Amino acid sequence: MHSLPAVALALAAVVDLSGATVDPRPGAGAGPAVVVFVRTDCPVSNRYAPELRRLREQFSARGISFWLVYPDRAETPSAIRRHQSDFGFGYRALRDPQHELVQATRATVTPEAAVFVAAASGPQMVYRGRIDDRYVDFGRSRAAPTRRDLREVLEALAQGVPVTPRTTVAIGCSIPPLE
Amino acid sequence: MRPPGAGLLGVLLAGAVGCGRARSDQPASAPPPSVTFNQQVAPIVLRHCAPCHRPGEAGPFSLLTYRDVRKRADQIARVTASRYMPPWPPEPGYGSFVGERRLPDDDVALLQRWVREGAPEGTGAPPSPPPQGEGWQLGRPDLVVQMKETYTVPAEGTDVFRNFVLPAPVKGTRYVRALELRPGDKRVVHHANILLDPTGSARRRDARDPGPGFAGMDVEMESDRFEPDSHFLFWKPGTAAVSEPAGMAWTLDEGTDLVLNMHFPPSGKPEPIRPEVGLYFTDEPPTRFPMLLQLEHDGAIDISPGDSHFVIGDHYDLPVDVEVLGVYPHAHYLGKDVQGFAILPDGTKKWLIWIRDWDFAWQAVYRFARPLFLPRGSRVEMRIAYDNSAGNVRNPSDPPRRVVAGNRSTDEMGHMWIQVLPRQKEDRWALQEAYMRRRLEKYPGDFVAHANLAAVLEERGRLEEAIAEYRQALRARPRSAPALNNLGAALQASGRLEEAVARYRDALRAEPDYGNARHNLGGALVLQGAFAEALPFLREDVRARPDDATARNNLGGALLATGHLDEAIRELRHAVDGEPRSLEAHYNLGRALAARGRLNEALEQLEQALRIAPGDRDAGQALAELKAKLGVN
Repeated sequence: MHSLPAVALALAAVVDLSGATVDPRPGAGAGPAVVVFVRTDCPVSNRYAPELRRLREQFSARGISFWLVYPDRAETPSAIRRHQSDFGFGYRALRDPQHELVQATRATVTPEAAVFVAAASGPQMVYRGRIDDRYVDFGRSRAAPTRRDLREVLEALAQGVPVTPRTTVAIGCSIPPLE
Repeated sequence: MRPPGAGLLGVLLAGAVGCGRARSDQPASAPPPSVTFNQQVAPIVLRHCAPCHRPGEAGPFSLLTYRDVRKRADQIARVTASRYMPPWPPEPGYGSFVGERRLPDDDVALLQRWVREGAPEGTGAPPSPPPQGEGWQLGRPDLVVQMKETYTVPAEGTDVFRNFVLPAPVKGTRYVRALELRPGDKRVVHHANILLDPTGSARRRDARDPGPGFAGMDVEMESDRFEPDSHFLFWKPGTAAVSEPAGMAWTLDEGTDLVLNMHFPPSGKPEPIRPEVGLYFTDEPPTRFPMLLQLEHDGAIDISPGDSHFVIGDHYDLPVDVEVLGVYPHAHYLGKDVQGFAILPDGTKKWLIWIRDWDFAWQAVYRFARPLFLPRGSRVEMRIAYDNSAGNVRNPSDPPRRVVAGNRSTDEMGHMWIQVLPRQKEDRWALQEAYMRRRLEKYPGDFVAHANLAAVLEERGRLEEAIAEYRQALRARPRSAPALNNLGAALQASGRLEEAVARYRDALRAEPDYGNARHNLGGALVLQGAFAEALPFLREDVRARPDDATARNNLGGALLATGHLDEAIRELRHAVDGEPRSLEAHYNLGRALAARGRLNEALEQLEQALRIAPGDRDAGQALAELKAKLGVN
């Protein structure tokens, strides 16, 4: 298991589709936040759209917020809007052109999820990794997942059960390095 | 009159990008990068990746420019090293195929090195991507058949396997030299098989299943005719449309449906698709007649849960020399190791194909780069191993369960289709006979094997053996109307008209709407002189197939014999128009007209009959009588 970053780095260049700066991580007193890294053209993250939508529908009423993060600066706001409407995620969309969230979470692929909770010292990441274990490798996937990691974390948080921070390895499209 | 017969079933990421970049404090003498995009990488990517990874093609993103490739560099290094991309499952050195997409080892190594060294662009200009064809690859088709409705692939769930029926609106018989499938969005379709259904059986299944098409991973067509499949009609992304070799066009008859058997992995959003098929015709009838032989042993598939190495096999001994043109292995998600090979009479082993890590998703038809000659007496063989353990992540059942053969994705199959070209058309019958006899070894008493073997024997003129095989088939399925009818036809051909009539009647008792039996019974009763009894069958026959000249002639003859002259003339006119070279129709029409007193018209018909068959005694005699009556010579 990889260690999770202990210190929350400040975000200065994570923006929503109108260009406004947004930090999706919860401040003091706020509920948990889920960020999921995706790209418009990654077939693996696209295939998760229905499951991601279900998670939002199920858990947003329980005080959890949901964000999609597009880490490729070449993906424009209009392409992202189109992607949102095609796949019906219903998440708020952010762009991370400087890879601040990528570095803060150490995400490497799409789709990869990170879950933050508010703590006294600032937002704390309690999970980073796959949504579930359906994909085992490129071209090797199960008919149905046997372990739904992200859902397990959200269920615990929704019930107020403390979550031991952990990470899993996600399979998907590599997040391209900054040029 | 030849009774319509026979046949029943047609049967690591590699080193992180950027690690190797030169730092400014390094000595200025550091060697320049030796592998660059513009020099070495672009030609590999454009040749091996870009055919699919470009706009409008199946790849999810484009790989055409430095930016495209640089962005995905470490993923490209990873998937080429693991051989996930480009997808080419056959083992190198075990069969050589057209359109081989396997990346040479040197190219894989080069890509790894390029990424390790920081994926530099290099100097100079990269080669340009090859131009992209617009529209149909083979030019404008002679006929385009499109699905009437749109089918929507659901956003999620297990992969979708669906069959769509597209009627081919051709008149008469056409020869097809090429077929091109445009599936719609190529990112949505994983592969497609195109089958021909002359019987409407797929149409009937479609009608029973709600929505466009019907479900099923594999589809088997029932056929009234004994015409074994001959050509692979297969589509997968990134493959050039196939034109059949010279002299090997396939036959498309009026009334035939094209059945598209398609595989869609859900994409995350609903995907509407509406495939279309382009057909390219030729006026040249085929002169070479390939045939598809199927090795299989579905009957032996019974895999216990947890069994990680379950093997089935099949073999077939070639009764004639053939050239092998292509091979199409097929198993579902439990398949792991698939082998096809031939043992020559001298004991030499020749590989057809070996796939060591079977992946259903990348199944394909493989066409040999050069036809593989196999002499008579060679044994072709397949071996397929399955993994039904929980360790097989593709196992559709969790926990694993007992698996037998079937066409659902949770069932299994073990097939290897082999396309062979015999030296002459007649050799097909020998191949078919051997094929059905082999099937009987695997499945003693099997209805399909006995019935098809009977049809082959009948075709080869071995009527007594054929009759015996039909009787065996009927032992398995006593009320099979096609088998009863075909037995009747064989009996009739061997001169046992009375027995034939009894079998036709049995067939109609089993299936009162069975048109072939009605047609044959009507015709047989006419031969027996039971015209009045024949009339209702013949009238129904004409109603069911108004364009069938034989049906019209049979009815006309019976009407003539029972004194219904005007109706007889009307039917026989249809018969003559439909089949202008029919001696019987002209002869019957001549006699009907003569009986009606229309002697000059009758003269014309009888003369025509004699032009068709100059020595025919009946027509000659009728003409002589008529001329005597008219006082001419």
